[in-house]
Amino acid sequence: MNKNKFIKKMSILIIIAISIFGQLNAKDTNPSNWVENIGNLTLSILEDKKTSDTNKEIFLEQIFMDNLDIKRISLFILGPYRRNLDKKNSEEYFNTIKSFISEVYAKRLLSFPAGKIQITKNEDRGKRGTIIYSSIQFENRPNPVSIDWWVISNKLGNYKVFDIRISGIWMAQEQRSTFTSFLSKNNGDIKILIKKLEQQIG
Amino acid sequence: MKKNFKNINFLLLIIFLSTFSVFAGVNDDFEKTNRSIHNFNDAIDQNILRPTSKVYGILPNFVEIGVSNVISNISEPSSIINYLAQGNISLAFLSTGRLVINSTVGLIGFFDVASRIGIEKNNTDFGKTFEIWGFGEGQFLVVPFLGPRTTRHFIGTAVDIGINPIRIALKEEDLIVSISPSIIYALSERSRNGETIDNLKETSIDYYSTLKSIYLQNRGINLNNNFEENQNLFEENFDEYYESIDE
Repeated sequence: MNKNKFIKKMSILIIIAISIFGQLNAKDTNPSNWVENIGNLTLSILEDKKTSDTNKEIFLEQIFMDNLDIKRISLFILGPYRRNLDKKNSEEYFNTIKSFISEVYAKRLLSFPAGKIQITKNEDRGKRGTIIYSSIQFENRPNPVSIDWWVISNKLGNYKVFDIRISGIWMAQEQRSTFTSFLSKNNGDIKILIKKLEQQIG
Repeated sequence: MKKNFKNINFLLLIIFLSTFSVFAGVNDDFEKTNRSIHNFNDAIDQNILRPTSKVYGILPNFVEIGVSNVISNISEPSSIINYLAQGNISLAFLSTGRLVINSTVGLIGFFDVASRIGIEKNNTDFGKTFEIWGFGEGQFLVVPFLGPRTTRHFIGTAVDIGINPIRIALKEEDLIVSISPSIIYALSERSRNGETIDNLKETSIDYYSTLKSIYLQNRGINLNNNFEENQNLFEENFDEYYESIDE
């Protein structure tokens, strides 16, 4: 077996393992523990010096695919333009956005070095879910970075992340501003948005 | 004569501020101009700031942090004035403590000794002071070299520059010396967040809107620190809509 094939197979195995890990932990009774597990898993990937950035990105994307509430985020970021989704374009939109969101989140996270996560606070927001406040001390950074997680649970009782706030910036909120601005300049046409997203993810 | 001129400037400032005090939100009525200035700023970033910050980034980490600490220490007198103007005596007192400790034991601020003994840095500016005085945000603007600002924040920045102790201490011909901390600060921040900024640009479908959202969120949190205000995200009937859509 040549080296490339071996790396490819190993990558697939790891992705499956990560996926199972993510799903198992989604049943955790405590959202803080669940977030801490995801945080530690993510940081262990960032820390791994033997893994290339490309593979790290693949692993991170998989973590996001498994643990983000992609459907809720996808609808939320369209703002009022979500009413323009019809049966025809919604499937295409959901498929494209899934890749786009996980890729965006993974790429942005990839710029952070290794670090240690500490859960600092847990705030129950009733129907709106729970906000888990965490602090990550990244290597070579003078101050810890605050990362907060908006966790909601679905009907099956599984936890999903709706939004992540890094240093005070909510990512889904930021995407929403960008998407609605783009759509307002393109007559709210979801097809044009899908095309743009496809270009973006190559 | 000079004093009268300053008084008129102050009066004009108050009149200008009061004209947008009635607006609650932030509008982007100058979007076309803002986007042009944003493109200009982006070109400056890509062609000057980014490459220069890479050279600056060669410095050892502790030197970069130390320089950043010195610049932060320089801004402390401005924070003290702002906290006093806001009527926040306790934070003015803490800022004074930080200034004294870091300027002496911390070797003009190179070492942030105050933070190590539990006196954390708090950021404030005249934008915040104007907010406490009751002025609205005004318009969203993109200012050459400075980047996104609301009208209130922009005027606040001008006042903050005006009360900068280095600028007051130095003569007009020493302009380059007085603005050098800002240049070094920009280089230091660009160097430390280089990859994050590049990723942000690469992953955005509209970089202008992304920066605008980040700026407004950041200002909102700094100014209000109010979760509910920043997180009014679930509109009415969202959940019903969510359930009705098939993935």
